[in-house]
Amino acid sequence: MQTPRPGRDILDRALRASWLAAIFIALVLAPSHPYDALSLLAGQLIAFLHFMFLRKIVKLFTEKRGGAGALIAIKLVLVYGGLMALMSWGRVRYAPLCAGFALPFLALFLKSMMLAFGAGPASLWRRPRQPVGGSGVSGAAVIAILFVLAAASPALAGPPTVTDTPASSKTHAGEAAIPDPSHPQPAASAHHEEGAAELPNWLVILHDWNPDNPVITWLDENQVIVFAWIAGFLFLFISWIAMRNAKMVPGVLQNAIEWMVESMENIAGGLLGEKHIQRHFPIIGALFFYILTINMLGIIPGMKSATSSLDLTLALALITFLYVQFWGIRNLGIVGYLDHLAGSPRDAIGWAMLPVMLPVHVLGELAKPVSLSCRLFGNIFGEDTLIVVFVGATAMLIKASLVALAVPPMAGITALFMMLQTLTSIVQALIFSLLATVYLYMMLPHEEHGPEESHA
Amino acid sequence: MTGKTPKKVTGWRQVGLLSSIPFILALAPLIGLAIGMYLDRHFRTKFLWIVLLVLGFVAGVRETIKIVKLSQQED
Repeated sequence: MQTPRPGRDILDRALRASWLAAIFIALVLAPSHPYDALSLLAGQLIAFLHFMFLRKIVKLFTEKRGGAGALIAIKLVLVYGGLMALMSWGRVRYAPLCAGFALPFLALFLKSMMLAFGAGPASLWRRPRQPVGGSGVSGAAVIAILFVLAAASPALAGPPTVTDTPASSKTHAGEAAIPDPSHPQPAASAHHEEGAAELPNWLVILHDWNPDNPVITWLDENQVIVFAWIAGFLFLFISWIAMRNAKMVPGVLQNAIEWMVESMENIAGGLLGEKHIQRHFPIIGALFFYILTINMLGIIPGMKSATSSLDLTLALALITFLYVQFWGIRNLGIVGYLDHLAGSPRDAIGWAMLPVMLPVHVLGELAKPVSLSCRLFGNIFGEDTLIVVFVGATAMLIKASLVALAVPPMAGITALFMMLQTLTSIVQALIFSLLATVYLYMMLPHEEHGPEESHA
Repeated sequence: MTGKTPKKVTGWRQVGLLSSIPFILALAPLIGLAIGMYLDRHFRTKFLWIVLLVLGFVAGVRETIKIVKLSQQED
């Protein structure tokens, strides 16, 4: 069944939403910070031009029409020249310029995630391809999130005059939302270097209770590793419990685990083909279930999602990257792999372009794992921050004796976000492992696998 | 195991692929810039950062085109 391509529509709506958000924020900023507002709008304009040119270029390339070179040159001059000119002008502020530049990217990302609820995997929600709310909903969501973050950031940063060190702005939400002047902000708080405002987990509580114990201090300083280990052991433990007495007529847990594994194998197998999936499912399945366990761990109070740290997501992406490159070398051979990296030059022009194409290919290969890790980190970190903001806001309202007004709606919103967090945890784990599968698919010899390689 | 790609897989694959476009577009030039700055420091040059920034941008666009093509493949 042929349906209209959603890509262009999504880009249009994302750009509209980002313009709405940018104009709204600029209007709010204009009275007090006019240059910030102008910088934000300039950033938005540059990003808008970037996307408009990119759309034209992609269209020309995919439809194999000429003229892309000229467009790329115009784009380089207009977008990057404009950006450099703006940055060299003294009045422009970098932070709002970058924020304006990032707005369309954020809107596009949110829009593409909304595919999951509307036009994308329709089977999930039994909703066929239909618009879900249009740009207004997304724009409102972006504005609401920005406002909540902006409003809560001074509160989360703690009292500005007590200790004006970087560590003082990196304390936990519980402490930060209700600042306690009697708490001397000891060295105990100085180790949270990531700048992440997060709900206190059991390690933080343990460390606050006994800050002098070297073991507890070490554990607290290496929270990401500890929670990644916990997730790993939990994953192994659940698998062991479920499968230690595997029966032909499975019990509830065995049935659930088998269903999950088979579903994941079907999904990945549908992409890779039956021959390859037998070989590669162990790593794809392990990635999915490990990330799922880590993400789900963060929902339990007192625990933390280790994927809210870029360190772990980069490590996972690095494993995927090395695995994919290993299989690329193994399948293509060293010469074939280098030929693939060089863009398979077959004529004089191809060889002449080799010095340019080789770094371009290498950079493209590097961008894939980094984009994988940044997306996973960004989503999980964003969820955590969102919940912290609402918990912090609730605490502030309680402190201001607005209990009746504050608690019911805020608790409801927080619970809603936690439900959303559950869904996003699954979606992000699935997307990470599916994209790892797609990258593997792009590296495997095409004539051997699956139903999709009818292309030359 | 099925031998045919289920419909929902195509949907998820599209979600994953399309949502990676902004990251790749933004990160490829940044990776180029980082490598260029490192090489500049290493070889004591002053121009490699801009060369690799542009190459990173080209790589991002190229990956985007590949992703768009891949996401448009039907079963």
